[in-house]
Amino acid sequence: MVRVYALGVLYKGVNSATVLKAAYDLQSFSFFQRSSVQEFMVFVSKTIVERTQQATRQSVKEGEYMLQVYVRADNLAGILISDHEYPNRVAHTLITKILDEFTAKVPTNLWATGNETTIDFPVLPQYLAKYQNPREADALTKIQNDLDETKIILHDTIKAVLERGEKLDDLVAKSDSLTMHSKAFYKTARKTNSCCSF
Amino acid sequence: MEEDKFALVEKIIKDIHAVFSRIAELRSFDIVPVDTNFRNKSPVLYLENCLGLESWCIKHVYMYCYSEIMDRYCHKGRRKVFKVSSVNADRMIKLLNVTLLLNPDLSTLWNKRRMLVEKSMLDNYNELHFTRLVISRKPKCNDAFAYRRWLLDIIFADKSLQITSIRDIINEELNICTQASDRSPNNYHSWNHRMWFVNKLKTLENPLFDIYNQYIKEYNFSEQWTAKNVSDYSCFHYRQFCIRNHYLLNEESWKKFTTNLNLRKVLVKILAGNFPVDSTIQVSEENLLAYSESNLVNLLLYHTVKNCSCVLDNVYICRKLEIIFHELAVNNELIRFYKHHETLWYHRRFIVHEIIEIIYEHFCLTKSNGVLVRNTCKKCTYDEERQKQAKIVRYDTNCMYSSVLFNVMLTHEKKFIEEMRTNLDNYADRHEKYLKFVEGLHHVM
Repeated sequence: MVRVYALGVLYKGVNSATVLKAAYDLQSFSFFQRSSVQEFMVFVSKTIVERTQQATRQSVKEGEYMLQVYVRADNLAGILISDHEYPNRVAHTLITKILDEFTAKVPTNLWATGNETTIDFPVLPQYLAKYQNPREADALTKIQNDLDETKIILHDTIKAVLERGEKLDDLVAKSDSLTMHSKAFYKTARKTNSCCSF
Repeated sequence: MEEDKFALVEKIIKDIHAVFSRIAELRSFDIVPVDTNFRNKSPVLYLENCLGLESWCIKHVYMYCYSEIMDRYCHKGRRKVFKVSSVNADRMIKLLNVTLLLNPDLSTLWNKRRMLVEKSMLDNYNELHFTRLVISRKPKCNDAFAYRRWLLDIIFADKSLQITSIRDIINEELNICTQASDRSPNNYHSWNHRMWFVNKLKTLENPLFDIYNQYIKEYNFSEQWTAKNVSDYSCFHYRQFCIRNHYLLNEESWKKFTTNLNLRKVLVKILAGNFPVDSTIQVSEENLLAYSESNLVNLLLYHTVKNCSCVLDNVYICRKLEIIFHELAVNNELIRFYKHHETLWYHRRFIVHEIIEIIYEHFCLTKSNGVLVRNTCKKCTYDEERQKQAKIVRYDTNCMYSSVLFNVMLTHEKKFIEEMRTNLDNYADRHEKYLKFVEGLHHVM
């Protein structure tokens, strides 16, 4: 399945990252899971952005999901959550494009203090819908084939991104941004995924 | 304490039953993970046509319902067989609903439902709604799909079925399959069910129902779906089923299908790009486009040694080629874009195999045990020709290998394999091996 679940623009502050704008496509999750899934996507995006160096691109594979992140030198970060079949290059080109547009649209002084309600950048849902089909984005890819002075760093699991001694389970347990409900959801998901699924 | 728990479970069963009165609107069911019951509220959630059950109560409810059903209704070896009456059927249905929602992989209980349907204590259409709910949580539940097939068999057996309700059923069924396939990748059960359903539609006798139109819809649907699910081998299998159905289109529906897209152009483009060099014919795309179906096929498969009087339908062959070469072009693009996907290469094997089959058929050959033998015409047989079989086969095989279509295909495959090899795609080598040793082309490659 080639699918984009979430697109987000974040700001990497000194201690923590904040979401400036995000769009989600959660149709493929069951109704009662959607809110938890969304909370999780926010949580994971923040965690990863906080652990990504400036001016680097990372692609993190976790199970069947793929998380693409790019933190620019000016601390603006873009994130795209897709499944693992979505081509990395297309994803990163898309992130670059969105960040450029964001910079043009939203003045720099608002970044550090802004949040999802104060920032006016309504085009994300459109992009999310349009790039569900990566071949549409292909034309774009061809133009920017020389996209990179920055290389994409690939990671096979989210563990590789966490700092030494950190565990995702602990981070989830400690987090204030996740509700009780989502934590219970995380625990069950962990359990069901641990044995073979058919 | 125990008594309290039973009362609670009874209450939950009642709540679920209340929601079930609106079963036609219910879209999905799910278990919501909640660790403990700290709010002292009913664990049955009903929001926007979705039914949810909090996870803390599952164990109690399931044990309670399951043991009651098994003890009272399914006990084997008891001398007196339990009789279902309208009085206890109600209770049984309630318990069945809850148990099957929580654990749909119990064939015994599905059979109980079948029994109740046969006694008309359950309604066919409500049962379809119920299975939809089950599938929404467990998209790979084979028992639920099998039960649906059983129900649909009964529904379609009614010859007085109106065309509007047929259309409703078709929409509903295909939607459910699409959703189940979306929820869980490589869902053999949902694609298999879809295939069964299309085959079932072929047997419909309603004159207002147009099966060809359905073929076209499914063909287009599967093309879009495969383009987005490049490693879902189950949907590619369905795609192959659609392609084979597409050969059967009649004149009218073929015209309708090709009004918006020009399959001939795709075919001609591949032909012109790979035409054998020593050919005496002037080939350019414009030239080839001007050919009629019949002339085109004659050009591609110029020589045929028919040993019977059956007439070859060149228009039909040409149409088949257009369909299959379109598939080849799509496959080229997909492999180039999504690199290193095994499923795409397997689909390519199917395509190449189909092309070779078309050629074999044209030259009256079949492959048996890895050796090409003369095909005997099913409609008419010439005994005298059969005796000279061995010689004729060698002659025919040579004709076939020198035919334009065969060479075009081979050149195209070689070029493609070479291109992918430079892209470091290991599957390219495997594809070459497949052509050489499975399709048996090692002496011409």
